[in-house]
Amino acid sequence: MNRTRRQVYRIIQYLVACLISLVVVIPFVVIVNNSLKTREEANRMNLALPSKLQWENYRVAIERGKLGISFFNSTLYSAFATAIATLVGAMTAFVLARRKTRFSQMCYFFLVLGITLPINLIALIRVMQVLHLVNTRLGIILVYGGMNVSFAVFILYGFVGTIPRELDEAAIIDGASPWHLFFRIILPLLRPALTTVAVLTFMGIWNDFMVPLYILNRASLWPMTLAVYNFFGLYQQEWHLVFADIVLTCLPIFVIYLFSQRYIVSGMIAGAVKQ
Amino acid sequence: MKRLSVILVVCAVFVLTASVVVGAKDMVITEMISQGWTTQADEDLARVFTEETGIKVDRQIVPAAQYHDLLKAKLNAGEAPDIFWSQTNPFAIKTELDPEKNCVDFTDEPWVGVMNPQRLPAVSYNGRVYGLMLWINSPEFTFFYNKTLFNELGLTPPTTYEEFKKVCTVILNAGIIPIFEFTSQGWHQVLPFAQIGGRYEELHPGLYEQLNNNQIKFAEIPTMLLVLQQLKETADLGFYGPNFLANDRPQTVEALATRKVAMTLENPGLEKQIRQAYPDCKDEFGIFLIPYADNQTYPFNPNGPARFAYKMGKNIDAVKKYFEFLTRKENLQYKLDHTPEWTNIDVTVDIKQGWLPMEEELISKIPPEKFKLVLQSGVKYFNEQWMEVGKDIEAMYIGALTPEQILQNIDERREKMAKAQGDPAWR
Amino acid sequence: MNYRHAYPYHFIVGALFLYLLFFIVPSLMGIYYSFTDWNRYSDQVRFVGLENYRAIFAAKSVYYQYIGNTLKFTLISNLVKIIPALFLALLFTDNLRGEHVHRTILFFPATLSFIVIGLVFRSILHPEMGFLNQTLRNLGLGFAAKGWLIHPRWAWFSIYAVDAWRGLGYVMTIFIAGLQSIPRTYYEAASIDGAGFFHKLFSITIPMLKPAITVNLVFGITYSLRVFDIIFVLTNGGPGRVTEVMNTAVFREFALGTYGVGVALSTVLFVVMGVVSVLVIRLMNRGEVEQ
Repeated sequence: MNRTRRQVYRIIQYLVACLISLVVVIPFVVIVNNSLKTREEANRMNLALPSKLQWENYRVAIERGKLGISFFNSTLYSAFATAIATLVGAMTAFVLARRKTRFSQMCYFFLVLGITLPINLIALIRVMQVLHLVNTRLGIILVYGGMNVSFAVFILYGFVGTIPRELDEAAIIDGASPWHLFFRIILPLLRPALTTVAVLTFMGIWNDFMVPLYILNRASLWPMTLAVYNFFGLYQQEWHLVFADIVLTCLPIFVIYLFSQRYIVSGMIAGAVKQ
Repeated sequence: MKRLSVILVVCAVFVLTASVVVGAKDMVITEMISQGWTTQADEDLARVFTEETGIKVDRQIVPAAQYHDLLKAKLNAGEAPDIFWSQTNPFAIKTELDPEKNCVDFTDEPWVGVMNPQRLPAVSYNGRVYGLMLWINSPEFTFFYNKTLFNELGLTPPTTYEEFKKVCTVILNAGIIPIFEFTSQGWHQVLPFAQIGGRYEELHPGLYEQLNNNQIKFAEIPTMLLVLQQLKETADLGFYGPNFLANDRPQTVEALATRKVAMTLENPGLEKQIRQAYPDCKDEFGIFLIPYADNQTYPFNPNGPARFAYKMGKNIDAVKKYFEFLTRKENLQYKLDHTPEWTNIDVTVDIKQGWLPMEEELISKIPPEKFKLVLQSGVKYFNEQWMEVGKDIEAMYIGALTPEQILQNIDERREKMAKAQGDPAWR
Repeated sequence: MNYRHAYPYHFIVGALFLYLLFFIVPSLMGIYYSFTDWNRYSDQVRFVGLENYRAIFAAKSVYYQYIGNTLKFTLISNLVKIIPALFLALLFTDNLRGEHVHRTILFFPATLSFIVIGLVFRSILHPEMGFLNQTLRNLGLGFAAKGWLIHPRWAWFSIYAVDAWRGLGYVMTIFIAGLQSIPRTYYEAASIDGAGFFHKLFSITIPMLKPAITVNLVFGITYSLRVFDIIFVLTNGGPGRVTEVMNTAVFREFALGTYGVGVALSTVLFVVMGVVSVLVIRLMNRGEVEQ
């Protein structure tokens, strides 16, 4: 009796799981499927398979969508801003979590407040002008770095607390400098949480489109999100091309996610959850 | 850690080589355009220009719904592209662009004479010319309709609102959506209200001037209210079809060519687009004046999208070269020949124009006194809030706002803008 | 041990510098401008005190509706994500075959950019050509085909649905992380005592998940109070102004050129968010002390 109930329960679990995954997957199937159809087929927007695979669409999207340069830009901005935010975030989280003074608590609160702050893009442009950073790759990297520091500190702060203090003491007694202590001992231990922060930050930057829309005046500096925007503006009625363009835009981030997903969960256990 | 350093080194090398490739010192001028204002022909011409001069034109096309916001944000922040497009009129140019501060003075450029002198006021301020307007001189945004279908149903183009309603009812009963309307871009739904500004002026002589001197408000003009009510009725009677809020402009060609709809507010060039995309379509098309409030005035509008150059830009000479290039006879001809949406370009240069019979037919029938300036070109502080009015009209269509409220909102926004600008009439 | 030597404050200079320069300074400038008549039409910026705030909180101001919409979105969008995500997290930590595949799939939408989500769902939810309605009609369910994004009744519903589609996996992943840190022995002990599913849920799982719940609440609330992208790309505040929220209203004020009011609006939002997040973070720290 009990066993059959368990089995029925198990079957229901499987059904629910598959149903949910199916609902999530369908839009992706629609995108990929339609990206391989002809114009007429794609405009019908159904689940029917393409009569003949139109790989041609991808060639056209790459050619006309300026995807090469925008892929380069996206990679550049996301990678460097992520590196900066993660590194300075880790250094800060390390010091603030170790020193439990009033001042360090205040700093922590002040920094974490950034998760909630609304960014004022017009004022930001003004600041960038003063610094001669408008329309530069360096500028947007630093802006993204600054915007993501809060998140990095928030996640890493909790994680530093789980590293036993005795390690620090042992190292200091051995005569290690703070730099040595941080880079040789703490940073390697922070790796799972660092990866989480890095992956989430990277994806956030990769997917953003408001900041570049406002602070970059050149299509040649635009990241992939804006290239899609631009492409859609030109080829609105050609969904097969738009979908091909979308697939190419999402592909890199999917690959990164697939390779790093185990860190996302483990890092979250370590960081966010053990706050 | 070792792996991380390797990755960083690889990245650095990648960036360095790439920036050498990318940063090769080309002269680049940047140009920002709203989606509906440009075609492949402009892209082609930009490429030819690059081949000729080595100057690259970096064209950024921004969806119409965001264009104005973005341009204003950039001008305000003092970081605009070298060239930006703007749809201006003599009243709006100061508020939209503040040309003395933001725009390059082109008064002495030889190509200024290429533009029809009627168009100069829209791109001028205090007697100086700031913009290059290459636009059509067609009956803009009148009702474009399927003549063959009308004949089959025994219909003739309506001249009054009552006739218009009857026509729509017959079409609807024949199983065809009478009017193709789209609100998704935010601007199209305002046209029927604004293009018949001449009718308001006709019924209330001196109206534009009174509005500009703040002696009367939109909410006090019964004809405007009537038009909004008629628009609401048009939507409620199903003349736009059930899902018009999801329509978008690029579907227009197909909708007209395949008889999904019978008419739409568009430019005559639509016929050329239909012939090109649907060579099998045998239907004939025509145009008639917007009949709301029994309007029979012709929407005269010497204003259209124009290119301006940013005063603080670093490539002004290159921009001047580019504008000179665009206004050459052969390039104007190329633009016209490769832009199916257009039937002509309003220039003084002798190019081979292609006005359609329907345009000449309509214009020939209209007496001179019926050529009247459209609302957005004759009244201050209206064009600037076009997109907001669009939102309000959409809200009216779904029943969230009344026609009275729309007019009040327009008045409130006009007051806000006038006061912000220190307009003496609003003190 | 000497703190100053081991944990020098110059380590935090980099973060503070970037954060101050590119985040705090623009935000403070913004707050300053909220007390001025800063606008597009005049070069002079005059101090006007609280006038912009008075306009926002005036008796018949439209902003109440936008504030209401924002709060409604905050409440509903979090409910429809957090509760199902918790059950999904339980489901996918129950030694289900292929649970890793399911988890991976569910997180996928969170990797998409809003612009892509907007394009894709505007196409899928189109009333005539859209995939959803086409499918419903093909299944003979034509009556269920609605104007998902254009009908005032359905627009919010569709936004919640798409938002949940995107965010569910993320919330779930945080819960899974929390669940995996709960020692198995607790459940085993409870089972021996004959505790049922719901008893275990309320007496072990939820109390032990408190940190994960807090994280989800902080992220969820701050995200939804300042929601912009998903609405901007799906409905742009429409139809009419039905789905307008605070940040889309800010965007519109900027478009009209009345920057002062726009900045004041976003300052109001900031204050609300600041208060809420300090409260939540405080709550979380208290939890730590209790443990």
